[in-house]
Amino acid sequence: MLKYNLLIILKILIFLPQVVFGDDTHYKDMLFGGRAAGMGGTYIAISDDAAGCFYNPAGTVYAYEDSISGSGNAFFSQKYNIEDIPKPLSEETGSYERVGESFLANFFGILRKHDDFTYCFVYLIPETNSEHQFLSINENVWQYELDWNLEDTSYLAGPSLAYSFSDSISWGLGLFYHYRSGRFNNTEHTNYDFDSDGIQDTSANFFHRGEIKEHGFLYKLGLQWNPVDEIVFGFVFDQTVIQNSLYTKVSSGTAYNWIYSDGYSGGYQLALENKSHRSVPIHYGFGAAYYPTPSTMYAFDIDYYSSTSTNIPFGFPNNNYTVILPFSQVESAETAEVINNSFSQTLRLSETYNYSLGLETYINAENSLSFGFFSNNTSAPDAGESTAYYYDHIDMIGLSGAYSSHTPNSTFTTGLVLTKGEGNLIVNHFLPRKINKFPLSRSSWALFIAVN
Amino acid sequence: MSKTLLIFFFVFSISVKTDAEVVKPQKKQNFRIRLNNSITENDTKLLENEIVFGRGIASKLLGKYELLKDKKINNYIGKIGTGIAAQFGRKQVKYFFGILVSEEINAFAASGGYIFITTGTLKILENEAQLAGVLAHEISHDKRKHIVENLNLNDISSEQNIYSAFNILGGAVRTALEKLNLIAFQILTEQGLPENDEYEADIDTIQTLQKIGYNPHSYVKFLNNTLLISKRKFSSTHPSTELRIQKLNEFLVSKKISKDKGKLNTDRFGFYVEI
Repeated sequence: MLKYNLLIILKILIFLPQVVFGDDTHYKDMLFGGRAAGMGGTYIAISDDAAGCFYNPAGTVYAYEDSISGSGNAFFSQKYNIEDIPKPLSEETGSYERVGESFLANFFGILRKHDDFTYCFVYLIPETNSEHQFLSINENVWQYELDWNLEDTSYLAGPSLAYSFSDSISWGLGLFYHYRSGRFNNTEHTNYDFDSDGIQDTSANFFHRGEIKEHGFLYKLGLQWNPVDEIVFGFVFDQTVIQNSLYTKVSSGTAYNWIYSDGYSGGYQLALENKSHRSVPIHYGFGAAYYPTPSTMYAFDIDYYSSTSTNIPFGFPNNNYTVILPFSQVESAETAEVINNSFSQTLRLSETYNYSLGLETYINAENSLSFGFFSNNTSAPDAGESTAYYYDHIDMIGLSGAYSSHTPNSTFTTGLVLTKGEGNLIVNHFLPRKINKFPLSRSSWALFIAVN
Repeated sequence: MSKTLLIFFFVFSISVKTDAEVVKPQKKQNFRIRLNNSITENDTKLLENEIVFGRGIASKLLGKYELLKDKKINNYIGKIGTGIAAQFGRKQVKYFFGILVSEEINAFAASGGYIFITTGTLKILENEAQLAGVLAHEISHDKRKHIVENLNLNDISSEQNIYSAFNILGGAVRTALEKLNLIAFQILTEQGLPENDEYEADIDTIQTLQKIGYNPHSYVKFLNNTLLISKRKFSSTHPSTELRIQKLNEFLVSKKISKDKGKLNTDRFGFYVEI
């Protein structure tokens, strides 16, 4: 017989799956550089400005002149939404939504030309994840509150060097220091009045706090080739190697039961630390650009990311060894612990591709427009391909557009990047063995500005 | 009429390419140059050619007048002029300031950053503020490209054609360029620039002096002094000095610029300028 009161607390606990940290299964979450962002990040075969120092250093040898560039999101908004999640102690389902907003200066670059060489220094934010949620449910006999806050940002900074072998072939190298810093805080509180007599019968409070720190390097090799006039092909290879990482998580909780003699009352405190390195896929990119006139340019990129296994920070499930998995039938804490320990602590990432298209057109010498379309597919495995407790599986697409105002010495760009995707939150259950999928959607929009 | 014919001649000349055409080294992957870059390309080319043009006029001035070789005063004039140009001149232009040995009271902006002042002018200047006013006036002519516009060279279509002629010149084109320089020289030394150009430069001068911290009224005083010197006309190349003074006074009143505000630096001027 299931211990009903325990189940109540625990079910409430896992009402909202706690994806521990940011999005490690998408690789085109953030666009940067005014011109590049306007073209949906389709820049491997272009890259002839400071933003190119990162997209493909080889292209920088064809930069028109020395430059200093910067770009930032004047406003960046993210939304994460899961549908059809069963409510605690109810047959009803609901949805929950986490939103994040930020103002972020996400790129700064300096480009210098010297004969056949070009060297750069860039600073950029390739990914940021901001999720905040406050949930309050009050259904007369029970109340539930959740306050969830997550900020997770990766940074890259470093030099690149490019050299032109000839007027048609160039190569470039980049070495960028990778730093990732994130933290989350999560508090949950629940009360339950079983017999509806107005007296609280059980209550529980849980606190979770975690931090992630990563140090490493991203190595990048780029090549550009101009086989015929007006057409350029670009190639890039890169990989981030995490040299040092530290994930810490502290959880504590208290639960009180006043009506059942065998009910659970007490508290716990648990601290976890994990120094194992996350693996990041190898990236190969290919791009083509066509420059039919000085006022029009078309570009196409395809990016390939290899499969790899990456560890899941803090592991699954959410640290509390007494937690019973959702929608499972677990009769004792011992069983739960066995299950807990059996969860995969790594996630096998699939190989994946991204595509992007870009267009740049000039209205006149002072004004130009750019447009882009891009995919941001997930490398998360399909349902049934992993035994990880839960993970998102969602393919994203994005649209971008930008307007640039040019003067002889500068360019100002402002634009919009919209992304949207629909997929599933995949939850693996053990007792009984089954897979649940919950409709999931993500979206974001960013208003960016850039100067060059 | 003669100018129109010259311009036509230029256009015609460069439309027929000759063996003497200089082929500029190609940039790598020129197709990457976007439309906005062409602004810079054109501006750079125009400026380069304007400097060549101005150098031609300057050489004519130096052919007529001797250049004063006094290091002390040259350095002083250069410092004052460079300081003004750094703030109010064209950033892309390197300014050159020279002193012409002449009793005429005049100053010239030969285009492309070449500025000259005569010793005759220096003699009637009373202080550094007045010197700054004269130099600021010429820098304004240069910045506003008055001589270039007066020759009708700044029309987009003709400008590009004519200026590009400087780079692909053949012998005939050189001759025509020489004639254009001569016309500019005559405008500067005999005909003078249009009255509106002078008024524009006068107003620029007052505003420049005010921003730098010199007394703007000192420039009007200088113009008044030129009127008082009957033997030495201020110059036949300038419009009625009385009219200019009148307009400047109106401007000073409208802007409520105090007579006592701003420095004169009379002592320093006296120390450096001994002619």
